[in-house]
Amino acid sequence: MPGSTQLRLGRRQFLAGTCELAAGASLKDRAPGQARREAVQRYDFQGEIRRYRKIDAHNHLLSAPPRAVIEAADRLEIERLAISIPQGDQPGEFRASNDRVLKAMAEFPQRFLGQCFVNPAYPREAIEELLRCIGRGMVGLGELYTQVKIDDPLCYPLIEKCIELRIPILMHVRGDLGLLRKGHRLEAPATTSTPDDLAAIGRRYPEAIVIHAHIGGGGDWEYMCKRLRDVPSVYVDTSGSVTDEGMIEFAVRHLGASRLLFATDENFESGVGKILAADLTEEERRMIFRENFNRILKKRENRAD
Amino acid sequence: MDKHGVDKCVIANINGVFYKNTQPANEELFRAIKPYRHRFIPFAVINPTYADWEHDLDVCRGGLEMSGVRLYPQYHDYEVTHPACIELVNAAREYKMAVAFSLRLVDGRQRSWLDVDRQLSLDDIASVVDKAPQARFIVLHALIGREKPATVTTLERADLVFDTIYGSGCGVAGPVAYDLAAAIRKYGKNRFAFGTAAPFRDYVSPFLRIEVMKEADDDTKRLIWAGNAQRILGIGRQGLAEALVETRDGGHGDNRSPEG
Repeated sequence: MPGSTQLRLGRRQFLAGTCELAAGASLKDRAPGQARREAVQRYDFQGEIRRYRKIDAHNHLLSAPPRAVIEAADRLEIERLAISIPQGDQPGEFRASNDRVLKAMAEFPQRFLGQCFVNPAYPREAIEELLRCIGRGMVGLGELYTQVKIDDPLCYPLIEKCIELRIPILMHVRGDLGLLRKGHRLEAPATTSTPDDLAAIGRRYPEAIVIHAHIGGGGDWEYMCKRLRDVPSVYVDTSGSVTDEGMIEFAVRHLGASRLLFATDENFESGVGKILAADLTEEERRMIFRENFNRILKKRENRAD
Repeated sequence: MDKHGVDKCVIANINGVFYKNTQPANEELFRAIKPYRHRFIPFAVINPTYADWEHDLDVCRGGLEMSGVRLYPQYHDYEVTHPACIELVNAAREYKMAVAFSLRLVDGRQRSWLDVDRQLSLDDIASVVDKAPQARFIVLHALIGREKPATVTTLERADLVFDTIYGSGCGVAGPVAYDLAAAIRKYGKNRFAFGTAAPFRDYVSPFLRIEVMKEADDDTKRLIWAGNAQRILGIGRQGLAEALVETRDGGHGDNRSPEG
């Protein structure tokens, strides 16, 4: 298990306990000078990377070409990656983004799982594009971005179509202070979905497979998990650049390991690292790294193992 | 640290961010690490706009045996080019202490309503370097790639290291990250020092960033794990000798840390 319990200090514990907690950290209860002579089983980073099969539930072709993404995935032993290009407000533009994803899927058919991006502000074109992409082998809708909030009625036809197709909907969500509380600076468009919006849509469509993107993607992850605790149909992916100590354990405690999906959102090392570092059971790690998303894929018998 | 192969780490007391008079935080840290002094490299938190900081710095360097100074201008409410800040940086240089600036403590997107809404940038660091070019700098929570061209030129001239908290070693970097290999090509292999931001961040991801980086040769990785930090801290390989004799048992092929 990576990290001792002494190292698992959350920000709150640290602030409450003053620096003694941090400074004493892993050497607590040992006599000075004695600690370093004890036999310590070293953490095998490469071995731990190889130990778990992984499907990345949320990634993109944005900052790097397909081959570079595959090479990055290889370094972290990620077998398959759900990818999208959430760019383009107009129908012609989002079709072009999806065409690039389809091309990458054709180039690496065993590695890329396509996700279809649309702008729900164009309901007819969005449905047509979703059907086109699913027909060509994509596995889900998303990452829907900031054009329309997920609980806007414009999204209802798309969600109902996804229920019919038994495919997941990956939704970009932010829990920034500026979005959650009036009067604070907005860092994202006002049309960005919040955890409150996800909870609302999860209650409206409990049969939908809705995925709350990146609890580590910026925003108050404690708020996110607590808001979704009693909305069991909503999954949460673990991606994002935030790797706060205790975040994954908090999510497991409030949502359960069966609702968490391993993902990187282009943050490969921290995507894997935060799951390896978390105080989880072997079974929980396997569920999060691969089994939960594979189970979602099986609902359509589409590209699951 | 033992389990993950870290021999020593740079440490500062976070309470110093919240105290108006930061010196009690430094005294707390001194007491806390005393039994394990050979594993920690303490940095003093100093607020140069507070009374008698000069005396505090002197005590920190002398009686409290601190190796550097960590500054939090955004929390202590001053600009990095405030004359007192520049005076402190120059005083630290006289004491042969490194100066660390933390560009942020919390991801601004998830800050509390009680927290400050301000982060530093590499452009801010360059403005300090311009006014105190002889000092030794450590830039914590550095995000490479968004700085102005003039900033690059200034930082290239400085005796400075960036931490690797936001570095990506796998060749793909998301929006809140930088490609470590590209950054090394830009600034040179002597400019990056392994860091973890523990205990606030998970204690595995920082290691993976270096482990998976195929673009760096062994020499470069040794510099990132320890060599560059040793240089900037002025402790050299001898400074780690005591710890290494008792802790090294293979593992990473070379000693790790000190962390930034």
